[in-house]
Amino acid sequence: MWHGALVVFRFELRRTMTLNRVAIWLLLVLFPVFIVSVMKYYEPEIEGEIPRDAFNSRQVRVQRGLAWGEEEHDGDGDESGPAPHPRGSAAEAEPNPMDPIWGFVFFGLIPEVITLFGLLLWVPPLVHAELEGRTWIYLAVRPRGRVSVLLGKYLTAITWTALAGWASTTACVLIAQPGCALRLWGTMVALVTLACLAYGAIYSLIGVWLHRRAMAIAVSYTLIFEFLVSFIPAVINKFTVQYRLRNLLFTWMDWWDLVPIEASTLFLGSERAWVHVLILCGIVVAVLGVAAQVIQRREYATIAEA
Amino acid sequence: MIELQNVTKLYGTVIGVNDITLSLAPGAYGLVGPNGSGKTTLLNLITGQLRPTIGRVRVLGQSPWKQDQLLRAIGLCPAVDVLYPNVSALEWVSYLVELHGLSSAEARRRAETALREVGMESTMRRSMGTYSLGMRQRTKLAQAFAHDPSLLILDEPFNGLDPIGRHEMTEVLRRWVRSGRSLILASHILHEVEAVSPSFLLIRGGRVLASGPPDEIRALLADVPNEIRIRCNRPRLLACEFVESGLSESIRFLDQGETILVSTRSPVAVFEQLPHWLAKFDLEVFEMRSADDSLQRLFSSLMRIHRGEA
Repeated sequence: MWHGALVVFRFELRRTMTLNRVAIWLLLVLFPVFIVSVMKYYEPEIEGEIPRDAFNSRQVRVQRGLAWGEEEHDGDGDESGPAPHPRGSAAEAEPNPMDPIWGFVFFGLIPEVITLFGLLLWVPPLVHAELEGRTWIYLAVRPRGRVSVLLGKYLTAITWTALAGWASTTACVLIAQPGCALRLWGTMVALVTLACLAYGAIYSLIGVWLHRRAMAIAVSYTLIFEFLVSFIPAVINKFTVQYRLRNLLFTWMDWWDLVPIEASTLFLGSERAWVHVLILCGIVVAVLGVAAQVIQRREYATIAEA
Repeated sequence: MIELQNVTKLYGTVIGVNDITLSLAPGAYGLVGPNGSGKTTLLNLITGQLRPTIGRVRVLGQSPWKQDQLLRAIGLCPAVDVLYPNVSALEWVSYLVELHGLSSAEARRRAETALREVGMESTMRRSMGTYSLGMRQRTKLAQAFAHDPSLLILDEPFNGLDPIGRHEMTEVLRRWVRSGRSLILASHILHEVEAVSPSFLLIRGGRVLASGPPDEIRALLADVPNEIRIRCNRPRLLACEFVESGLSESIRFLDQGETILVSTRSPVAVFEQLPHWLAKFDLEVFEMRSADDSLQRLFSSLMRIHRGEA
């Protein structure tokens, strides 16, 4: 099965080397770069607009002589607050009031926009494109051919999208030059990778299950479930990928103190980073497993037969 | 080799194949039927792309729907055209052969051999976007047998081929059959199948109407009345002569009595007698359509037998 997946991956990756697809890839890379470049140009004005007490920032905390994890308001170890987070590396970084701004912009543009766009272009039509191109039957009559197509196309999509995300992150960090450049870069690269793996798996399931309307359903799922439901202050938001990524951003960047404790309780969680990573990996394995079962057992009529 | 037991496939309320039971030993078979007769559905059931709604399918003793490792032994050339504009035939066939678990180098070697065999030697490295329909057909055929299966299934493999191409493909398939491997060739053109396969399966309306070598099918049709349609200036007189001679099974008047439709079990005798009547009664025949050996007639006759009308 994995041999077949790698064969499909190699073939599909070679097929991406067309002018159109490279142009789309470049567009995805350059879109955040453009936004960040404009912001960088107006950085002094943006920085001037930030109220001094806009965030209960690290700088403020340091000035107040508070340690990380130590709560200013009560300090009684309330269970509803975030768990103690890894610390150390950021403490040595040069504090910069623009850092969280860059972080949120990068997060919003790269793992949330570039990744989703890239994956939406590739993954939902994974079966329908073969049916429409009348190439499905040629692949489906190979041993484990159907699952090989699923996994091979999934690998191609996440590679193609992750490369765009990593390139864009690198360019954006170089342009913005935030105080915690290396840490922000590392966090974004990790988030892009996890977003690609998780969203790619979910779109794959949509692509094999509801292949005729896969694109529309994937877009609807993203807008309704990942963007809307993930901000509903209820247990349901824990089922979204967005919730996990958001938590990882705050955890890995040590930005818990940037939001009021009430907001962090509602929109963020108290789990440790490895729990989020484990849950995301679990989603990938479970969803791909279901997708493999669906693709193996589904009768896909060709367009002509339909 | 292939066993179907009361197999029915429904697409919603549309019947794809209808209660087919057959058992095929290894060998070459022509699956003949008009467009929409259920040939592709039957092939999809045999290759495990469809699950029968009712009944059981076994290929080489296994269920193709459940055991997709069985596909190593099957090569399929579907009827649908294929086009990867930016990929060469060699790349595409190598890719498909590699999916059978072969190494990249071995897959490429086999793809080259197969493409050479179908006459694509000089063009196999060109992108498929530049191919004619005939070249794509040859490429499709090459991908079907490049991994060396024991059963080759071809769905309308001659579509788009010029006469020379058809002849060359026929030779390739004859060599395949002579090598002792199995073949199922689906087509709606009888003589194409006859040139390759010694045995037929005739399918229409999702049912297998007849099977066996051509002689058996001809024997089956021997007792089926032929229909001859004659438009002349004195149809009633001609009808009387048919009745008196005892050559006709039945006679119907069509086109407000200007045409007669004669059903006969002795078409040769009718064609011998007709010129005598024309001369004797000074008849003017404007149009005469004889039942011929076309596929349509063959299937119409078989359908009548199937329905118990003949």
